[in-house]
Amino acid sequence: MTLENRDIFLFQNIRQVILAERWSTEQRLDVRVKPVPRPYSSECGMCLSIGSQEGDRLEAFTRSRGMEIRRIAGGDVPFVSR
Amino acid sequence: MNLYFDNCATSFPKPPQVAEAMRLHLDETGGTYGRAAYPRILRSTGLVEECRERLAARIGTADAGKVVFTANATTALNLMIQGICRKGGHVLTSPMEHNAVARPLSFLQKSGIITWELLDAAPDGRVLPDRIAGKLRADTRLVVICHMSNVNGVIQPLSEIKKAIGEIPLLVDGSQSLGQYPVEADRWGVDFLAFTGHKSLLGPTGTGGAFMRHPEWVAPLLYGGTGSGSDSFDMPEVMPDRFEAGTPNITGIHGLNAALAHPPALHYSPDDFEQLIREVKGFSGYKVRCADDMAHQGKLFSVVHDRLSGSELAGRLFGEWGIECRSGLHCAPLAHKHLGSFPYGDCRFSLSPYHTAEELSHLAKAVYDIGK
Repeated sequence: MTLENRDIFLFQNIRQVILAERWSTEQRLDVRVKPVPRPYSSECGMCLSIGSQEGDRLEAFTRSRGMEIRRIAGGDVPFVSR
Repeated sequence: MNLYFDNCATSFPKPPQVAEAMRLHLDETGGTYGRAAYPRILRSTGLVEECRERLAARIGTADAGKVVFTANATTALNLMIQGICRKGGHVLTSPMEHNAVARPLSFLQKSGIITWELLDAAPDGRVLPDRIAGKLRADTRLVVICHMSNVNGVIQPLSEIKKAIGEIPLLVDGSQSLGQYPVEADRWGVDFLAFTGHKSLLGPTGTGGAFMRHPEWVAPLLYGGTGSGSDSFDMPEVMPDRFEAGTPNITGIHGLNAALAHPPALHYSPDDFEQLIREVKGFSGYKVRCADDMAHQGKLFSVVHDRLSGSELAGRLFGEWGIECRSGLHCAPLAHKHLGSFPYGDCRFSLSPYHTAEELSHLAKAVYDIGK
């Protein structure tokens, strides 16, 4: 799977990232925890990268738990150096 | 033989998995809470969140996101008392409160911010729910109740108290009870609860926290970095970040998580404990401070002797029998005033789940021998 086919999920805090990652892993979704890519935030925390097709399931889970997430379709981009 | 009977101060021993979990974090795995995304942090952070979930289950709430970590119960109580009462109002408490509650309230009262009154209670300190209505005022902002007294072990009827106060928020000091006595925050309608990790939960010192059903009613006590919303100088609104400024005690929380995952079975029976209290009540010269009814009795009690002071008793129990226990006021002068043992206090025995029937019997013999 190429990076262009992956979505980025941004969360309000670390606890939400951990809960979403744990659920995704239990559901055998191809989810990866990674630093928030520079174009989207200067935040120092984590985000989730997931295949766009599987992202709908993850989004449904986060909404059901009352998490206010931001999903960036095709948003997983390579790191760029300054 | 385990002759440590001061588990109300801090429990000992702990489940062996506690030290191992802490050693693992310090020696092998390391990692902070959040802030970055490499695997070491994911593991460390995941265990902190696992601990939060386990605590929520012990507290009896479905909403683990409203459990926040603090350094201890005192910090949690200050956070909630000062955070809720900052705009003033009338506060009611039981007469059995610890200074962790009494001192913040006294400070707020002396500062002219609140007024504070005690609820009516039975001689053993148990609040009388049918007398609460007469104490309520239009400006009553908070009711604070120590779930299990650290002086005589009396357990308060939280569900009945909440019914009597209606919409007024109930703040519970669960320092002694959580881990030893069932707590059902959701079912009982508990709005706020403070706990510590190092007493009945059998975790390490430096761990504790708060459950806040209505975090929006509480102003933060500490401001600082959370690893979230970092582009703003305001604390995030999202829970638990709103009340968790700074790096938490990760090593301690990993230890507490291990304690929660490995609760020991009770090594003595409830009958053994009941028999211990019954025996000591029968000894000449002693008055036993305990609940009137064993159904409302935590695993501790105190004694007052008609000839020996609490400190003399404690000193001789250690010197002659090797028993470690605590004398004095136990940071709860209010409770001693209610029970009639102020200002000298008493001598307290608090049990561990690891105590055996033989050790309780040894304690009874020692108390008898010293006091005869």
